[in-house]
Amino acid sequence: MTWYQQGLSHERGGHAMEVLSVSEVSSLVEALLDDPRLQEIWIRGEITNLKVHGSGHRYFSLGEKRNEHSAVLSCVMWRNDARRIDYDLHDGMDVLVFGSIGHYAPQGRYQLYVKEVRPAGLGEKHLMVERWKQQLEAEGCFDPGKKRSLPPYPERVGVVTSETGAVLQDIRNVISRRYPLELVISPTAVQGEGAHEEITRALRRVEQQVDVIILARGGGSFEDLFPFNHPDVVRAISSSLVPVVSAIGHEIDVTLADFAADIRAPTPSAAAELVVPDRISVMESLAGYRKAIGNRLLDRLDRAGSDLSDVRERLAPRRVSQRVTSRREDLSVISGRIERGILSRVGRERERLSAAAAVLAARNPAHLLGKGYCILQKDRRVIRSAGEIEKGDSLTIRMVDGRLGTRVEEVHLDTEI
Amino acid sequence: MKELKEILSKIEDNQTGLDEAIALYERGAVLVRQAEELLASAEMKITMLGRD
Repeated sequence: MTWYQQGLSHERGGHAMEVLSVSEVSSLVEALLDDPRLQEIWIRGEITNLKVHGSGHRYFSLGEKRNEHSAVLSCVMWRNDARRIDYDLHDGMDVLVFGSIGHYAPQGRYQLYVKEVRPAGLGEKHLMVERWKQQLEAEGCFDPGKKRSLPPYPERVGVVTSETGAVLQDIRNVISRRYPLELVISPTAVQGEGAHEEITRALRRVEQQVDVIILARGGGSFEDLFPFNHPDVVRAISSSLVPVVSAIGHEIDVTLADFAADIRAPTPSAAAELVVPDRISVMESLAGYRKAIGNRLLDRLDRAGSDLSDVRERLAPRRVSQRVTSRREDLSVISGRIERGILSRVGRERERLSAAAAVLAARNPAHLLGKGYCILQKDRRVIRSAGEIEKGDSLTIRMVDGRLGTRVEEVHLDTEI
Repeated sequence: MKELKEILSKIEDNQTGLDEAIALYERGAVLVRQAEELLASAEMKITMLGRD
């Protein structure tokens, strides 16, 4: 066993030591650094050692000094990301950077791969907007289901903007050209400290008097437009009584107010065009209606005319007399059936009557008296049993042709025999 | 515009009596004329609200 082999199978305390290669350690470090806490994070620090490489990549350190302690983070920003920065970076600049920590194996160092750099003051405002956006989103201020459509023919349009400046003039021009109506202007500051409060009040002041609101501001920097990101303004828009059309800054600038508006217009003029119809096209559609209503009525009259001649044809005298004849035939058939029915019923009833008369005649008591039977009566009552008679009773005997008065001399009941 | 649209579909509907259809036509003509007059004579009015 050579020293070299000994080294490879170093034993200490009876345990074999595992020996890793550099690249194994390197990839282990890389795996450890791939931690969500170190990926896509914002970091604040001061730029030092800034170098702009000929390729366009930027290399710098992000430093922090706090009391006795200092910390430094190596940063690299690739050309494609660096190109998006619209201001110069310089040493000593207080910045917010966004990126992910990674490991650079060839030099054995970890560094921050920077995607975005913002001057700290401004960067904080951007972050604040991000936070507001999440919060307002959770409140439902940007809910697409809550977006209202604009009234097609508004009578009064509210305009919330600065009373001086080109924006109001543009809106007035477009509306007076397209569709003159009442503009209710609710003036407000549109930038600076406290502007968000003024904008909110201006919105509230006008919403009860109009059918739709235009909230507009000309172009400006992110800072200038900042009040239009304020939650008070956003909430005033999303809870507005009437639809709100926003036109804030240039088309590329998007504020939270734009997200909350029912419709976002690229410019104030475009907002005015969205809000009122064009008088000319309204005139055209009115003419269209006039024509259509006239035509429909003529159609109806045509149809009614042809219905009428159809009825007239069906009511023609020839048709009517045909129907009368055919009804008359139906009638005579029916009356014949009724007559026959009645006659046969009368015949049947007559037969039943004579049969009953024969039965009745056969049972006539006069008929029996004629055969030699007679009827015995006591006190005008018919006697049916010898038991009803006593010796000495006076009885009447009725015969076919007269009556006999008699007195009973003897009574013999058959049971006594 | 909404009423005009309704008038149009009612006139078309056979359930609507002819007398009614003719009355609707007259109503429609009045509406169109009124709307045209309104548009022709419309003038922009501007109200400026005061600040609080």
